[in-house]
Amino acid sequence: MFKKYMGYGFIMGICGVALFSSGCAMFRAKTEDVSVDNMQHMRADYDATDMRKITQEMVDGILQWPTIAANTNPPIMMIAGVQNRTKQYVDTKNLTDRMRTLLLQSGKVQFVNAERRDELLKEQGYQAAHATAATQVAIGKQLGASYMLTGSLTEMSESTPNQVRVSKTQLNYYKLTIEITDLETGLIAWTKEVEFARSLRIPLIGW
Amino acid sequence: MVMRLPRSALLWLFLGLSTVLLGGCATTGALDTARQYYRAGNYSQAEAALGEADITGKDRVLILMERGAIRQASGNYDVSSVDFVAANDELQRLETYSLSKGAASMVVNDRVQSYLGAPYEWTLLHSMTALNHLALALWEEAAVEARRTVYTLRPEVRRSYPDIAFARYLAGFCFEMIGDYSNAELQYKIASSLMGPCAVDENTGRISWRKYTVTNETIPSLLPISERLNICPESNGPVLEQQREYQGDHELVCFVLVGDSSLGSDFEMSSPIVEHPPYVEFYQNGNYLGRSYNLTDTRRLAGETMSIDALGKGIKTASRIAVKEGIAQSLDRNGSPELALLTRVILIGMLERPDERHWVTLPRWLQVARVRCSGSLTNYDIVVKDAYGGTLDSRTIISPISKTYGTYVSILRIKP
Repeated sequence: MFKKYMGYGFIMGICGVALFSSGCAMFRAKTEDVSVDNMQHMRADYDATDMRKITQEMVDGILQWPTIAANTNPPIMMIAGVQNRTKQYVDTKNLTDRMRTLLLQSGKVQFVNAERRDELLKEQGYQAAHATAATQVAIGKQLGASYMLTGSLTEMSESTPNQVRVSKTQLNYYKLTIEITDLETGLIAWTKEVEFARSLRIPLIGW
Repeated sequence: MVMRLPRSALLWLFLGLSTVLLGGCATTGALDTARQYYRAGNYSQAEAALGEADITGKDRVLILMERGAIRQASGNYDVSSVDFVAANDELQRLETYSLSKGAASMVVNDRVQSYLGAPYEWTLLHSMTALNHLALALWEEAAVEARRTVYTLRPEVRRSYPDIAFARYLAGFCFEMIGDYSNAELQYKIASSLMGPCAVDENTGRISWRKYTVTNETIPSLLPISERLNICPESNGPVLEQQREYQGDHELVCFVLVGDSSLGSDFEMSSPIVEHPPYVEFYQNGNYLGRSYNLTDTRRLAGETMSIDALGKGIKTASRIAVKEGIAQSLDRNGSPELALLTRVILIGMLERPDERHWVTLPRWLQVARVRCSGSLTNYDIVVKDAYGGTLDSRTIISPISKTYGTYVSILRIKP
């Protein structure tokens, strides 16, 4: 009886080795390019797909704002930053950079480079001291922004309460709020919220 | 039907089991060596010792926690944060209970399972990460960890495990640094309710002694300063003169981490002797600025956690011994009394031991000092004192000192 089981075990062992060494795709690492429009969510957390979606929605809203849509002279804005108020390490500059790129590409908004002011002044100072008069840029010709873009990304999350179960569901809700403030009057000239939520079911028992 | 296994198969099983189990000893040795170096203050050697540990194995979370704390103690806050964040990510991945490891733990011991840490360690993992971010002036990142801290302390997540005053206070401070004053006040209020002899002003975050009115008691001279200073001037006993604090126009907030979390025996944990922690006095250019206050004792947290988990662990241990005894009795019935005896010796005698893994390099006493200072703070002096006012150490601190607006933030590690 034991020899019979030993025989079965031997055969299964041979099959296992054959399977592993045959290069079965399931056991090999694989890389492939993925279209950014077809990325899948791996978790309930904020990810690249969410960033692309909410920034596009926000930019569409800004471009419909009458001050911009009907204005033949594109207003000048500066970006003061979007505050991360989530439980994740979110690169909010990534988010504002994308919005700035989309708005600039529309041709309806101009931006001053507020983050590079120190470098700009340093370069201008250098040119004033060392560059030829013909190639020097004029000092004091920088344009002032009329509007300031700020915002915040917030998160609220819930998970299923303690109970006897084999899986746990986690629900994450995110809201991006962007406001555009008139730098002269201090009034909030425009604001919009874009929200989304996603749930994830996590198995509590695995191998 | 009784299954009969040949002796050779059992011998191979014994050898295989021994190999698997002994293979884990390397990690334990590396951790112990690292902890010894850490206690001696040799942080670089402690980090090097952990390089020999298997960071991909079942102790991955523990090794990352220990290494993160060692790196934090040596001032490498950025790489320390990498370890702490990786530990948190691994803990999230381990939310899924492994059936294979669970089954193995019913035959061997709980140490074959991946280290999950205690609830207070999950919370303080976020607190330690937040401290790293504060040291590097990364206020938004610190606020992210503060939100994670608050999430772990929610009643439905924390359940019956103890709340942690230091974690609450630190979370409140992180919210204050990004201008979220309402959430900061809330956390200060909760922290204040958890701090026995101290209280937090929820509007300013300043810490002070609670005042108790005592009418008919004299003050024993051997009481720690912390308790003597609690007495109101209206009491009958003598009152100690407190040092006058410097009234600068800026503020220094210093998070003081004292000692490590080496635990005593089970007896010591169940009947903890009250130990009064040392504290730190702060000086700037000879001016007394103030002192630190103890908010949390992690040994007390460990003891309370152990009490809560005692019943469940006891039941599991009893079940496991029953399973092992069942295996030995099965071998007995098979006509292999020698193997049954060997099984009992190995499975029950040698392998049946409690899982005492815990985060040792986590500081034992977690303190905060929030004092006024002048606006030109580039360094400050500290005097470490025991609970009775005796001087233990003194030195000048030049880093880390980060600043935002009118607040300087610093972190101190004090060895026990």
